[in-house]
Amino acid sequence: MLRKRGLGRALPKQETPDHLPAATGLERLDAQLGGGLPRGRVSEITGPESSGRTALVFSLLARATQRGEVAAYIDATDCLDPRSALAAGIVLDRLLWVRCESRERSRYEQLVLKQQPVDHAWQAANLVASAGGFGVIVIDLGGLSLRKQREWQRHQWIRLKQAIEHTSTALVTLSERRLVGSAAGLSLALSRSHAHWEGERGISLLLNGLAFEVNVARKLTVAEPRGLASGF
Amino acid sequence: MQPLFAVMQIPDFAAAVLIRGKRHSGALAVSTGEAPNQFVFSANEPARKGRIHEGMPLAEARSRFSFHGGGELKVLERDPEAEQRSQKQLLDVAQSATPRFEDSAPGLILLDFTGLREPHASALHLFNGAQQLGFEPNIAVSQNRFVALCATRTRSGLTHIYPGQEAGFLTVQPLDVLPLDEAERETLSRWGIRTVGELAKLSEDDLVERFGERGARMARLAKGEETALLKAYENPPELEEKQDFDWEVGEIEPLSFALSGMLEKLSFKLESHSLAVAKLKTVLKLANGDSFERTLELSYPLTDPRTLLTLARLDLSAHPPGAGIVGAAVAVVPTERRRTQFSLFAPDLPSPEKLAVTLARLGGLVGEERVGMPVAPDTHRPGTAAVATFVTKTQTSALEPTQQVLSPAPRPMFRCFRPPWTAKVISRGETPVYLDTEPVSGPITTRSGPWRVCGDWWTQAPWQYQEWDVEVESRLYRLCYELSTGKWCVTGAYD
Repeated sequence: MLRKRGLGRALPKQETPDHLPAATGLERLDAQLGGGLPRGRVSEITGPESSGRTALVFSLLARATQRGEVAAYIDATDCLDPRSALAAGIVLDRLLWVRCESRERSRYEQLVLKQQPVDHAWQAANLVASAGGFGVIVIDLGGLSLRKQREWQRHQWIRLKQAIEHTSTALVTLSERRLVGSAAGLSLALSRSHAHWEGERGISLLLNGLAFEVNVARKLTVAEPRGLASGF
Repeated sequence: MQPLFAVMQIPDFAAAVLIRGKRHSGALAVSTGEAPNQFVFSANEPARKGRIHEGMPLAEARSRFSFHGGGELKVLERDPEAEQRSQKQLLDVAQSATPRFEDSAPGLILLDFTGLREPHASALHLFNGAQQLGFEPNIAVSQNRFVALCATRTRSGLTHIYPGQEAGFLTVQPLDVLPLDEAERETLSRWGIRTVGELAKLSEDDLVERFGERGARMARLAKGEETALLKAYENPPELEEKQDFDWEVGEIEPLSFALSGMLEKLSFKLESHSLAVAKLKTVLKLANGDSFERTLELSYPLTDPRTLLTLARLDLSAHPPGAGIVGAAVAVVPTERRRTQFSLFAPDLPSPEKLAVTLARLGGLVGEERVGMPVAPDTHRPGTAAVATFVTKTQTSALEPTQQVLSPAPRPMFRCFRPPWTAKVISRGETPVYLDTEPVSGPITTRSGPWRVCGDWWTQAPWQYQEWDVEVESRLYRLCYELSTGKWCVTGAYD
């Protein structure tokens, strides 16, 4: 009743509608996560360079776009390689690529011209999340320096989280370390195990694969409402 | 109330337009195309008697006409614009006779006279109106539109086919008046059918058995029983709005106030004609006497004036005019509205209105050329990429299993460094052994290569690289050696 009258702000949030999770394509990981990355929440994928973060995100995007969903890639460092995306199976017609400026601004530009390059990625993510209808939104902060990553404030993540709450959008961030904090519904930490080199060393060697480990660093579970008997 | 139709036809319309108001009794042909590949577009009756027909090369038509003793063939060049103007004038005449009429074809107008108190006076008014324009029209009035159409083809001047006379009129008409194709005409000719009356005597079931659905229509046409709906003509809406300002406008807010009114009017006009905006053109009259013009090509047909205003505002904010504004005009290019059958099972998609505004805002934020659909470049040059206009179909569906390209396990994907990292490399022979860049530095433990890539050798700026996949401190990079400059760089990482 309070919600109908617009007085429900103080009440606990209503649970996210029952959307199917966004499958990553890694069977064991999907099984552990209950089907994939949660929709209506922020998931973060962290790990150092060459830990398989991009491969995991591309696999997620490939499955989403091949299902008919529209996805967005907010590229804070302008690092997307369309040829790799195509090879991963992403339907490029259904991917919106926002190429933010990769160049680091000088201190003069930041102080005098009041231009903050990280703001572009933040504003772009906010615009895309507000537009609605995107199945997956990826914010790639992978190549950003630590200083630039810290420019993302905690309230910005909370605002993004609220923009996608109760929608079927899975918002995924890709970075070197955890940035989202308490706004993250899921946090996956990736670490590289080893690279597969095929062929004979010194004569003909080919990079053929990458083995990595995924550690679920944080997973927010949905608490069942009190008073309801499970299995009813 | 019995229906009543009138048909107005201008015989040899293309020629009639060119000789309006002048009498010409000799053979006349209208040509089309560029010399020397000109063809006969239409020919009048004397020319047809001289074995000239439509589609014939003009040179052949001339020689054939003179060979058969027809003398000299008068040839005029077709003027499509004049035809359009004449058709518009004829439609105006038709509108003065009845509000319901159909623009059937060039030189052919079908009018609905149902309910008119004096249909004969209206037909005469129509006849006089066309004559005043310099045409010699054939006009026929009948309760059956097909009978009236046949009458204009076979009788000149003003004809009335009174109720009950339709079948009798059609009986004596040749088969040429029926819209038949060559194969049907030939079949009927083999059967010995020469007139519409003979065709009408045949059983409809037999005609259906031989010709299918067209046989049934053929029988209805021959008996004068064919009915069809009239496609009422509507004047195309004026899709331009202008406004002059009393004072010079230098900011976007007062300008958008004026644009808002104009867009609302245009949107209302379009909605009443079930159309949408495909292109939005804004022309601003500047205080220095110049004119500033912006054209927005929309990915989706839109009608919502607020969305259109937002798009126009964002565009003008990104490309401001260089001086104060003293007048504004908005014109739109219309298109068909979207017709979408949504599915309960298809995934959610962004609404076109929101997506258009979002794309415009993103374009203003990072640059229009940096937002869109990624395009795989047709080159192997490191770092190249492009975007194309992002257009989502209103209904997308999952790919067929045969089209799906999904690897069972993720492969390492490439991340480009734009611009590439400058690197110092210690090499042994041609083989790199130590990498030193700003973010990473260390011995190369594993390497694969060299892979030689080159391109643009057919231009003034050819390029040639040797690429290595290297592992440094448990990280995988692509190392490039530019052969022309002898410099090393890291173009990306595998992740």
